[in-house]
Amino acid sequence: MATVRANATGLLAQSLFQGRYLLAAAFLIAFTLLVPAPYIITVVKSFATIWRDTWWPEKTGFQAYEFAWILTDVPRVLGNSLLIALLATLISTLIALPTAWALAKRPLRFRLLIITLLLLPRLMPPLAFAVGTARLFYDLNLIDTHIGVALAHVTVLAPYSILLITAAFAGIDDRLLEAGRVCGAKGYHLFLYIILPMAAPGILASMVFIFAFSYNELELSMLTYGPATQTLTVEAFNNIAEGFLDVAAAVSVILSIPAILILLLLQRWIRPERLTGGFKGN
Amino acid sequence: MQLAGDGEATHKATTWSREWRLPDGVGTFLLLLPGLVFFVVLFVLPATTAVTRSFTDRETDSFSWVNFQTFLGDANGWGILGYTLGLATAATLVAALISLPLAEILRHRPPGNRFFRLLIISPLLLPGIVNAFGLYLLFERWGWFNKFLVDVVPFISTPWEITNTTPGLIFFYAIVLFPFTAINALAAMEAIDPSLEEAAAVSGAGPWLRFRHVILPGAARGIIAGSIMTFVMCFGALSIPLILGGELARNILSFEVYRNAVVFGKWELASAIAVIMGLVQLIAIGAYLALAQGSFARGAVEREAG
Repeated sequence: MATVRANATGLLAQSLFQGRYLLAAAFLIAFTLLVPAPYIITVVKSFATIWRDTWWPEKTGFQAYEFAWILTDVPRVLGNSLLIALLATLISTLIALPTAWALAKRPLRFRLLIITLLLLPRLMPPLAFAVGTARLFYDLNLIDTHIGVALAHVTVLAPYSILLITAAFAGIDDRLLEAGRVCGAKGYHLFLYIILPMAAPGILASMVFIFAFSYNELELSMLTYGPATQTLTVEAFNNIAEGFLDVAAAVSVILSIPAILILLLLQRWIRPERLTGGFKGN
Repeated sequence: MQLAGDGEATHKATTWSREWRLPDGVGTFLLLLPGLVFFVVLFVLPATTAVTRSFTDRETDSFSWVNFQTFLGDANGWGILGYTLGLATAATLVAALISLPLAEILRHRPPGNRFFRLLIISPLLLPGIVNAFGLYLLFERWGWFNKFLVDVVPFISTPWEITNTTPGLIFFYAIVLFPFTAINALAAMEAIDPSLEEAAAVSGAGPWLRFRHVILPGAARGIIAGSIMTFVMCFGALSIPLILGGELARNILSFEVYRNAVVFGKWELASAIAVIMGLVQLIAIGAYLALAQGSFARGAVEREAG
C-alpha cells in the first residue's frame, strides 16, 4: 500500500517536473510579485493623502512626510539609529577579530564547544534574554544611552561577526604567513601587511552586514531605549501601534533608504549563506 | 608548522626579542578572551538575571514559583506555548516549501538569476518591521491582494480575511523568514559535486529522480541548518504578530514577554515567560538535530543494506 502511494506521488512529482519550465516561470513570477510588493505599497501609502478602496490613491502629496518631520524629529532619530549601528559594528568587530583568529588558525581543544557557546546568543530569541539585559543595564545606568543600546545589539551581532570573520581568516593560506615569517616579519607586521589586506574584504563585508542588522533591530532596542535614544525602527513601530498609518509609512520609507543602499552595495561581495547557517551548517 | 619551529630554533641565539614569547596555550586563551568576556557579560549575566527574576515574588522579593504558576496556571500559558510552537513549526515547513523549489530553480542559473538572488537576501537586510507593515497594507481587507481577488478573479466577490487569522500568520511568518532556509538550501545544493548529478543523468535518471535521490540528500544538512534558523526566528519574532496578528498576538510567547514587560511593567512575570521561551527553544533545537541526524543515519544504513 505504502509503495503504491509512494509511486503515485512519484508519478505526480515526475509529471510536475515534465512541465517544469512553465511551472518554474510561474513560480518565479509569483515570487517576484510577492517579495517586493510590501515595500512598494508602503511607498505608495506614504505619498497618499486620500486612499480608500481603490487601486491607486485618490490624492497624493507630501503630507505624511511633513507630519513625520513634526512628530518624530527625523534628523535626530536617524542620527541615533546611525550612531548606535556604528558603535555596535565597531564593538562587535573588535570582539570578533582576536576570537575569530583563534578559532580559524590556532590549535584548540573544545573547539566545537567554544563555537557553540559563542553562537548560542544567535540561536535564542532575543526576547528570551532581553528582559535580563534590560534589568542589568538599568542597574548599570546604561538604559537610554547610545552605548547601552549598542551593547544590547552586540549580544546578537557579535556571533555573526565571529562567524563571518572566522571564515575570512580561514581563507588565508598558511604558506603566506610562513613566507612572511621567513622574510622576518614580526607579529604586528604580519598582521598589518599580510593578514589584514588578505582578510579585509571579508571583514568589511561583515561590518556592513552587522551595521544593517543593528540599524534594523527592534526587540532589544525596545527594551533599552529611552527619550534620548529613540531609533527609527522604534519610531516606526510606535506610529504603527498608535494607528498613524500614513506617518508610519513615511517613517518606514525613510528607514528603508539606508538599508536599500547597503543591500545594493553588498550584493556584489557577500556570501549570504555564511550569515544564515545554523551551527551544523557550512 | 614544522618549518616555523626549525626557523625559531636557529633564530633564538641571535635575536633576543624572540626568546620572550608567551606559551601557545596562553596566547590562544588571550585571543579568545574578548569573545569569552562578551559571552559572559552580555549573554550569561542577562540570562542569569532573567532566571533569578523569574523566581522572585514581586510582592515579597523572595524566592517563589508564583510567576510560573501565574503564567502556566491562570494565564493560559500552556495554550500560548502550544500555539507558538505550532505556528513556528508550520511556518518553518511552509518556508521550506517556498525555498526548495526556489533553490532547485535558481541552482540552474536561469535568466535573471542575480536579480532573484538579490530578492532572496532583501528581507534579511531591509527592516523587518517595514516588511511586516507592508504585508499588512497589502493583505488587509482593502489591500491590493483582496482588490485583486474581488476585481480580477472570477467567482470571488467578498474580500478574504487574511490578517488576524492563523493561516494568515503562518503565511506571513514564512514569507518574511524564508530566506534563512532558501539561502542555505541553495548554497548546499550548489556545493554538491556536479559529477554526481551527471552520473545519475547518464544512468537514465530524469530531473525528478535526480532531485529526489542526489540533490535532496546531498543538500540535507544545509536545508536543516537553514530550517533551524528559520524556526528560531519564527519562534522569537515580535513585529510580525504585533502588526499582523491582531487579537491572535495574545497567543504568542514573544508578544506576551513584550506586553508584560513593556506595557504592564510586570518584569518578574515577563522573565518567567522569557525563561520558558529560552528552555523550549533549546529543547526544540536539540530534538530537531537529534531527529534529523537519526533519520539520516537510518537512511544511510538502509541504503547500505539495500
